[in-house]
Amino acid sequence: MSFRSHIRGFAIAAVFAASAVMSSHANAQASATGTGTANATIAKPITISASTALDFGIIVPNGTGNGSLTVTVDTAGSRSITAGGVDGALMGGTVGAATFDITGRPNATYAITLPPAAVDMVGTVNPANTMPGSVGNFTESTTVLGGTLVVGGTPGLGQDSFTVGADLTVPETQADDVYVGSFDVIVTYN
Amino acid sequence: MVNPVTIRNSALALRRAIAATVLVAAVVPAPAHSESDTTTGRINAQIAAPLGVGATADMSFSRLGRPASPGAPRTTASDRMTSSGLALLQMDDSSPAQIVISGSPNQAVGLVVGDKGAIGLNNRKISISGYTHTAGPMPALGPDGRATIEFGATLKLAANIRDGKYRGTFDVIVSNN
Repeated sequence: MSFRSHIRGFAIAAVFAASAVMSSHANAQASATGTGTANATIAKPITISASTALDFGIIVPNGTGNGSLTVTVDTAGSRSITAGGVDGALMGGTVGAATFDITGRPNATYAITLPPAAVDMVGTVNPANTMPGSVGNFTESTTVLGGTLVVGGTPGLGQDSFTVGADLTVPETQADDVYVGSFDVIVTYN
Repeated sequence: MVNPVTIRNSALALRRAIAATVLVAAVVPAPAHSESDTTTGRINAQIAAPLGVGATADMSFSRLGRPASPGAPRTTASDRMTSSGLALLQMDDSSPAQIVISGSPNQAVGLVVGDKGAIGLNNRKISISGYTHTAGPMPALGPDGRATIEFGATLKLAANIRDGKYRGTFDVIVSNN
């Protein structure tokens, strides 16, 4: 049933109810007024926006072999490599964790949902260069997949933020390119 | 007969009922999308080839006449050779050093010169400093993943410098930016 139908139904019911009241009062030749209590909570919708990207910086594989190297950017934005690559395979560039900002009902708690599976990276210079399923093991800075929206700069509005890190797995023979990818983050009121 | 007061009260009750209905309609639970929200985060990474660097030409100040007073001849990447006006200076075939860097196409790189301060002959030294290069303030490799860069420097000659062939080295450190 549609929302409009619901309203119409309520209105008709109310009219019937009122008619019954009128009839009753007419018969009884008396009146009475009661006060009902209606409660409602108007909830500010929860919103999330991405403010900074998850940057792995410049990585230099050794160019040979069937192995791979794994680069981790943690939620503090620090980068490390577990194995592989040339000596000093992490060569600078912009490095950082992704940052997300949330707004909603003050003092409400929320839950975070990170991607359950690894996501792909695609070359921007040559889109034929890909790294399927290369970014995974997402982590977030609350460590408990949730938090509380506290009143900040905007009166009546709760806000919070968190960061996200992940692992990037790079084959040692991966082609040179500037790769990009994306991942979805969901926040939900508890 | 219906009491007018009762009719007024009943009408009032009707208005309240309708108002309540409208109110109820207005506070029907908000659509589910207000309970959650989704956004898309971006991921960036650059895979680069290992940087290579090699010297393809030495920096040469050629033959210098011993100055009557201290002076500072220099060879630069842009001017090739200039002098500070020393009368006895001869730099007829001086040349800057040249290095070739290889890596990923259009890769921005950082250049650092490891200045050793002097060139020498046995225990005799000539001060060298003021290194310059042709890479500009934001060095980068070309579309072919290569860059050729020239380096110059300045010698400071003492008036009593001994004759001889002085030699030295300097390091160029290249990094990805």
